[in-house]
Amino acid sequence: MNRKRLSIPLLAALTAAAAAPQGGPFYNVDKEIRVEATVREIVLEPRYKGTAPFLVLRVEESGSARAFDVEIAPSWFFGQDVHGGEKVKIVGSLAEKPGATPIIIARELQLRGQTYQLRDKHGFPSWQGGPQHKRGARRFGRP
Amino acid sequence: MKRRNALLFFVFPFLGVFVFFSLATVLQHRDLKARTEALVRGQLAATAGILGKTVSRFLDEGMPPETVLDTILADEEIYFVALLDESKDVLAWNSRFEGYLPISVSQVRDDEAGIIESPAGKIFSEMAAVTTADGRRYHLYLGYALTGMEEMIAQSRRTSLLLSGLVLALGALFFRGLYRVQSRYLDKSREAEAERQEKERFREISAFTAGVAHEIKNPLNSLALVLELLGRKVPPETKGDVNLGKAQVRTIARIVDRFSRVIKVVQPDLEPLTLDILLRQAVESLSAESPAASSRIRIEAGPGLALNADRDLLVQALLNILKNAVEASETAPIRVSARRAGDRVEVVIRDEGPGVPAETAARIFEPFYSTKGKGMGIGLYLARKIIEAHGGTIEARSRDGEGAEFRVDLPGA
Repeated sequence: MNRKRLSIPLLAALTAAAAAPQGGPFYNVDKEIRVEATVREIVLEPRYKGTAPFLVLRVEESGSARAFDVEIAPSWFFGQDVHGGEKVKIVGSLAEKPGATPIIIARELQLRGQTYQLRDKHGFPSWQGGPQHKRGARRFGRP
Repeated sequence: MKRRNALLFFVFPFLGVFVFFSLATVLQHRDLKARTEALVRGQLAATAGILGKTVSRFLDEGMPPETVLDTILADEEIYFVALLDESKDVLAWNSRFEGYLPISVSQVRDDEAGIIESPAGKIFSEMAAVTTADGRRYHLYLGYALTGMEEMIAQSRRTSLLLSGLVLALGALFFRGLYRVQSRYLDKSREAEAERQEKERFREISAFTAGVAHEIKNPLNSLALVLELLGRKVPPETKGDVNLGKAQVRTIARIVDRFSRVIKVVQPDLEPLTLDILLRQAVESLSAESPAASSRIRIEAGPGLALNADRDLLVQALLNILKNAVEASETAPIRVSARRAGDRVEVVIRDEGPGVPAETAARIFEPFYSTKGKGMGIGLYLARKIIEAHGGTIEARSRDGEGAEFRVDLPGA
């Protein structure tokens, strides 16, 4: 592994997430689903302690009208504009909790015909030195 | 050297050595990697065991699972950790990367280590059983960073690559050197063989020429005597024919003499001389044979260029070169210059003839080699022989259509 690839996640880990306890849903590879939905609301929410707020899409599944909260990425990483009413396709891990809206931690997002890779197949976040970092683009949508 | 031999004796052995070395390096690298992984697995199992006991103690003390995991994640080498209940449902987890807990409950087994590839590098995962004092059973799932091991493997790979590069470069240099030495040896051998054959050929020609000269000279002397006597007795109207016969006999005698001179070993009888005098004597000798040709010779040599030489021999050598020049250039002037160069004396004779092609220049001083219809190929050979006997050198230079230049280098006095 090259030093650059290693140093990015390590630095990020030491500075941002070293003391970031995570007790909520994790990217469970056994619970991966694919959903086609319409965006109803876009919110920024703190998801993990000690990290920047995450872009969360409140969506409604096409056909079933089932609601999901879709965790996309930190706001600094995902620079695309998303509008209410837009159709999206999501591949991600489903986390359900009784009495709460199910959460999908998105791995892949299709928006306006373009696919955005947000995590790898094990759920490793792209903003932590994933393929986008390798290509030198630190966030989507940056000119 | 033939291409096949070069491949067989140099390129293939070199490639063989390189492939062998590369193979050995790759195998060694793999072995190192396997052994390092085994070592890390062992360490991780031990770490998981120790952490399992720590977790068990904390749980016994009633500490919440989240807090227990926080203390474990303080270790920089641990990327993620999870506490699972007996049925392997995740009770609590923590990770250095948001939401990242690569676990497939359906696949993971107790005390079974796995390697997960991630953009942060390879991660060893290990599931260890934890049992509290009151008999509750848990599973501790750990993700351990292999940065140290990866650094070591990367270092080993870099060293291997560097060594391979060195072997390649040194091998290439060594075999190239060997190839060049071999080529040079073969070239020298070929040259020596060619020289030996040439000497053999010349020895045969010399022996043949000496025999012919000897056999011809005696009857030729008798014939000259008979023609002399005959010339006295014949009527005046026949005397012209007899004189012609005598002239032809003299020509034959001269040719035989020249052949005899060629095969003799040149032994100069040195005396102190000046070059300008030798040059003028050579021109005078030429004017006796061809007054018109000698009038075209321009000598640009100052007096006082002293050297030790055999007068007759060196005049003969210069005469031969001048004759060659006037024959090559029928009307244009022949320029002769001389100068001192250190302890040497240099004479340059330039004509404005058609020049000497490269293939001819290489052979122009060989015996019996001539491009002229009338020539016997002796003049320049004899000139070289005389000059070399004086410790000098002669070389011909020419550019197509720009005449020829003969450069004579002799030791000065």
